Parts: sequence; C-alpha cells; structure tokens
Amino acid sequence: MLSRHAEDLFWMGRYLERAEDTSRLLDVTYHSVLEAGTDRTPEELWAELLETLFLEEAVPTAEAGEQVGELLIADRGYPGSLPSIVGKARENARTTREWLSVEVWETLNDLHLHLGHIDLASLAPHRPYEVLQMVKSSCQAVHGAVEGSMPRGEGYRFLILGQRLERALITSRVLTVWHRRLGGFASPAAYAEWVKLLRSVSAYEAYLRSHRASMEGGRVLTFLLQSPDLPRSVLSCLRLVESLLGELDSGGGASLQRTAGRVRSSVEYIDVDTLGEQLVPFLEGIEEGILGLAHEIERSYFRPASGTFMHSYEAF
Amino acid sequence: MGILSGYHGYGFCELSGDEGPRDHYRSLVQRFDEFDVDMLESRVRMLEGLFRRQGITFAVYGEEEGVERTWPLDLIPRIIPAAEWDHIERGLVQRVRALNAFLDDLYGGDQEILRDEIVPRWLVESSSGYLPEAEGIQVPPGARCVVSGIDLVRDGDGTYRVLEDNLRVPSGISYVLENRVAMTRVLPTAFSRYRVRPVGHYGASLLRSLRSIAPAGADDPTVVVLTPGVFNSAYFEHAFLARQMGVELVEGRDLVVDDHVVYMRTTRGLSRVDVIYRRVGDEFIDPVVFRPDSALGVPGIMSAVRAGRVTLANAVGNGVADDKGIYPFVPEMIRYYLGEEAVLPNVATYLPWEPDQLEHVLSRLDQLVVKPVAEAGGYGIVIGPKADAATLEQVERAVRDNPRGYIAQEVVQLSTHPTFAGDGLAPRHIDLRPFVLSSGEGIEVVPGGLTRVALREGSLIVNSSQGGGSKDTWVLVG
Repeated sequence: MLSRHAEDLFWMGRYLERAEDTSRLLDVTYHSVLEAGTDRTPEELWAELLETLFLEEAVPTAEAGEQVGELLIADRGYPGSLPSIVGKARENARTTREWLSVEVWETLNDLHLHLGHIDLASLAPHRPYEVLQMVKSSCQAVHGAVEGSMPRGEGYRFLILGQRLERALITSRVLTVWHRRLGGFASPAAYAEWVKLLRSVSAYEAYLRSHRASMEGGRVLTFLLQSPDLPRSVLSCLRLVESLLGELDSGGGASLQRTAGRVRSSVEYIDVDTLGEQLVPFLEGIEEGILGLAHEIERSYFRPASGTFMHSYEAF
Repeated sequence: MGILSGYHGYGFCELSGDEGPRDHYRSLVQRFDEFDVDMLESRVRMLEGLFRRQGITFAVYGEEEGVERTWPLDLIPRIIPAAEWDHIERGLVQRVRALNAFLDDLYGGDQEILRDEIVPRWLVESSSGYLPEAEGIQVPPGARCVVSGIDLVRDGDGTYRVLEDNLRVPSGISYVLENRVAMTRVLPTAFSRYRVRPVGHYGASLLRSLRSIAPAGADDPTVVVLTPGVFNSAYFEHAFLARQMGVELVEGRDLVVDDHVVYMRTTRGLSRVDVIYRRVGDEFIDPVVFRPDSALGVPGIMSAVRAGRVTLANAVGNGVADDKGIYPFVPEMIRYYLGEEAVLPNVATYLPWEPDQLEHVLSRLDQLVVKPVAEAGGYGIVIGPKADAATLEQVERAVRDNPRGYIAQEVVQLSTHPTFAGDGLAPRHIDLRPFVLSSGEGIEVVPGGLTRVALREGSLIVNSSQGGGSKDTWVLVG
C-alpha cells in the first residue's frame, strides 16, 4: 500500500474519532454548564473542554463561555470545529477513495454535505444538541460501514489504527485534565463531576452496571484506564493498537512493537490507588507515551513519502 | 401534445427530421410524452442527488466558491443508431492509427513525413507540443496515443466532422460510465425500450491495453495511475479509473527513480512500477528535463522512459499531433501512412501563417471561429458572430502578432438536441467525444462517448470547464 494512502487512512480514522469525541464532549459540557451540579463556574468548564481538545489557545481561559460552543460547532474556518474536522476526514477519504467501500464514502460524504448545508450559526446558540447528535451518530454510522463493508487488509488496519490511537489519546486526556483541574480524586459527594467524567467517554451506564452508583476515585479511574471490556478504556484501545501493529509488521519493525508494548503495559499494570501525589504526573506520562507512539508510527510508515503533509497536531 | 412530440429543434435536429421523430428516437418520444414538467423535474433532482451523494464532481479553475461542482448530466439521452456508429468507428480507428504513425515517425523514426514535405517541418518544430527531448524514445507500436478523445460535431446537414483531437490527457470517460449507471436508475423504463451497447468494461479494456505496452521483461506488469492531485479538475476521474482497474493512484511524490527504474513508496518499502497511465501534462512530468518548478512530476522519470524501463501512457510529446495548426494536415497523414481517404472530414480551417489566408481570415473575423493552437478545454476561443467589436480588434492584433498561434474555422452550427432547461425541454447544441484505446492489443472504440451539451441557449461552447453539461450516449445494438 502507498505510504501516502496509509497516512491518509490513518488520519481519516483519527479525524472521525475526533469529530465524534468533540461532539460528545461538547454535549457533556453544555449539560454541566446548565445543571448546577458542580461548584465550578461555566468559564472553568468551557476552559476544561478546550484544554481536553488541545485547543486551549483558542479562547483566553478567563473569557471562555458559550462562544466556545459556537466556535466549535459553527465556525467553519476554525480548524478545531466540527465542520472543519469532518471536512478533513472527508478530504482524507477523497484521496483514498479506492480503498474505501461505497458505503463508507457515501455515509461520510453525506455528513460533510449536510454540515455544509445547514445553518450552523443559528443552530449553535439555540439547538446545539441537534447538531451534536447528528455528527455523533453519523460518525458511528461511518464506523458501522467500515466494520460491515471493508476487507480486513492494510487499508482497514491503518484506518482503525488511527481511530483507536486517537480514542486512547482522548480518553487519557480527559482523565488527565479532569484530575489535574480537580487536584486529584473528587469527593464521592461530587456526583455530577463523576457523571461528567464518565459520560465524557460514553462510560456512565457501563460503569453503573458494573459498579452500581458508587463513585470512588480509584474505581472510576481503574475502570476508564484499565477495563479490558470498555471500548474506550485506554487499555482496550492500546491493546488493539498493539495487535494491529503486529499484523501490519514490516515497515515499523520491532522498535515500534516495543514502544507500543511499553505504553500498553505501563497502563495495564499500575495500581492507581498507590499513586497518591503521583497521580497526575502518571496520567501525563501516559498521554506523552501515546503521542510518542503516534509520532513513531508516522516516522515508520509514512515518512518515506515525505513532502508536504496536510496534517499536524498544531492545527488543533 | 406530449413533452417530446411537441418539441421543435433548429439547425440539424438530432430528434426529428422533416417527417417527424427519427426511427431511433420514437420509443423515447413515446416514453417522455407520459411525463409532465413536474415529473421531469423530480427525475432531474434525483439525478443531482445521486451525483452529489457519490461525490461525482469536477473542479472549475478560476472560480473561488465551491472547489467542486456536481457533474451536470441532462435527463434526455442522445441516441446513435448502429449504422451511424459503424461509420464513426471506422473513421476514429483510421484517424488514431494515422496519428500514432505520425508521432512514431516524428519521435521514433526518420521523420519521413517531413522529408517528403507532406507536413511542413517548420510547423512541427514551432509547435509548443513538439518536444525534441522525446526524440529517439521507442514506444511499442500504436502505443503513443493509448487513450485518445476525438471531438466530433455534426454540421447543418448532419455530417459528422472532427473538430479537434485530444491526444495528451483527454478526460471525460469516467462521466461516460457514471452517466450510464445513473440513467439506468433514473430512467429505467425508457432504457428498457432500447438495446444499448454497454460501456462498463472500459476499466478492464484500459488495463489490458496498459499491460500490453509494458517494457520487455515485465511478466506481470504493475500499472499505476499518476495524478497531479486532489485539486486537479479531473481528480475524480483519476481516482475512478484507478478504482476501476484496481491499481494504485499515485502522485509524483509517491514515486522515485533509482538507476532508471521507477518505484512507488509503500508501507513495505519500494515497489517497482512498469506502466504509468499519467494524467500529468508533459511540461510537469519531469522537473529535471522540463519545468524545473514542477512539484507534480517525478525527477528522473524521463531517463527511465528513455532506458525503456517504464512506459508512459500517453507518450511524451503527443501535443504536437493535437496542435490545432497540425490538425488541418491529418487527412493528408491518413493518405500518407494508410493510403486511405479520411472517413470523417475535418471542419474547414484557415491558416493565418499562410500570407494569402491571413488577409482572408482578418477580413472575415466576424464570421469565423478563432482558436489558439495549443489550448484545450475551450479556453481562448473567440466565436466571431458572437464577439463584440473590442474583442474582434484584440483578436486581430493577436493574430497579426503571432499568426502561428491561431487557426480560424468556419462556424459549425452544431446539431441540437432536446435538453432539460428548467421549465421544459429546449434545443441545445451538442458535440461528441468518443474515446479510443490503442495499444499492442489493437484499437478499441468505446461505444458512444461523452456527449457534451451547451446549457446556455444558443451557446456553441460545450466544455464542462465553460459551463457545459453532458448526456448519456446510447449506441444501439444493430
């Protein structure tokens, strides 16, 4: 497979995941701002959202407010906005059309066209949920089409590799930023904060089923970090990343496998209750490990085709 | 009165002659007479929706808004009966055979046609499409114009004439295939009343042609499509053809040349390439040999071509043969190389560089069409009867300053065809671009081709880059 195509599929996977996660995180933030379940101010909650999405430069923290939501939903020129992210996913799909099934392409193209068509600027302030729900479920439909119609070859693997790496990154980022801002575990009483954290990674109901409504710092963190069954836990994502890299072999070689294994095991074998003061630095370390792995994947598989690259993390 | 039986064309009307609808259009007229305008409109919307959803688009240069536009397909198909098509096909095969022979003579042979003064040497050498860098490069027989698009028009009495040859990177074939698929979905009933020759095998034919021209020694040749990239106006087509052939779509930056061998960069390292169906123009193909500022090409690729380690389709230097100044000599070429008379005549053409013709052209500028010799896509064409005085003055100056840069032709009143025009059917001018494949496998003409239609009333410019649309073209089985 052409390195350039592998790279575009990898980024298509990342952008799709990012679009879905951005929608969900926006929805969670709108909800937290409206419901008086936390002591934190709306400015603080909007600033947390920006930090989670690596967009803290976008709006000065002290001034963060509703306009953050409008920026991310409706500003077509802003690289971190939903229409921009979907546009980039679709642009990557367009340059790799021959690797995608008709179903995948048409579902994604529909979403892109629909976002281009509707009046985001007037929806964003009054009915943001409609847009967020639509983007989220469309992204899920694209993934469904990927699962249901793409052969399990290199193209599929690079796409899923990108998706799971992004997902691992976002879950770990959600954990890092939330714990850093709250200065460690929140008190069991701050129920709304726990719900917010769990909903940020679609894990609220899953947590209730496995732990009932007992919100304890160590338990929630263990669940989101290490649950082998939860599709957005950092461990689940990294396990899949590791096995995909094994299937892709060659290009990356042993060193890439080692890096992936190292990051995964640092997540898998930690007892979070022993971390104490080291909790936040530990989470930051996981995040760095994932970013480092992403860069190594790029160097190993995509760099041979170096030249002008459309993608960079700085864009977010 | 039905929607088609009440229709009146002008000029040469494809639909009807003096005695009402032509035989091959009768079933279509009957079917459309069951429609009213609202029903037509709903089908038109369905067509647009199909194309938009599938991302069947093209880009128009020099337009800010909307990098991509949905491909405009008209609802009313153009129908060509078998006997008419046989005639066209014979003419196309003959013409492409002669053009290939001409290019082979110029670049790979002894330039006999210049020595025998059938085509003036100075004319060839002054053509911007003539590339001395390609002299001496050997290409398998008949494989210089692997894919040709020959533009045909019908004049006032219905005679098919060649308007121009496109021998470099002609585009449009993907729309022929997509138009067909869309029409079977939108007009199944009308379709079912005819036996239409299929076009869907084009990808397989193209791949077979390309594999047949691989360098010696490549037992299982690797073919790729080379595109300038996603911002090119025909990118959709490049991706489409790669998909139809099941081969890689590469950009210049995906290829490297090492020791006269071309490789593509893959996730498993470098992988050898034998045949490149390139949709990058000559001047951009190799920055070492041609334009040094080109980022679209592959440095060193010409050395690999010259060494016979890779085949480019179409060959480098074909631009000389579709230079509009060379065009008037094609009937002579057919006579010279094949000993035959041209089956499909040219359009009457005047050459301003011939002193006696220059004055004739200048005195009749308001009646003639003036075309720059090296442009394609309808750019730079001035239609005398439709031009204002200032434009004509400009043209006069331009032709006087650079007579070699232009040709002038009699205005051909292209045939008209019923076309959806918002509130019903109206006559619009059409042409036809058939596609011809030539290789070691022989010559194959895709049945039909791209019928282009000038959507503006009275306009004679059908190019999609100039606001033209298209029609599905049905060639009937005998």
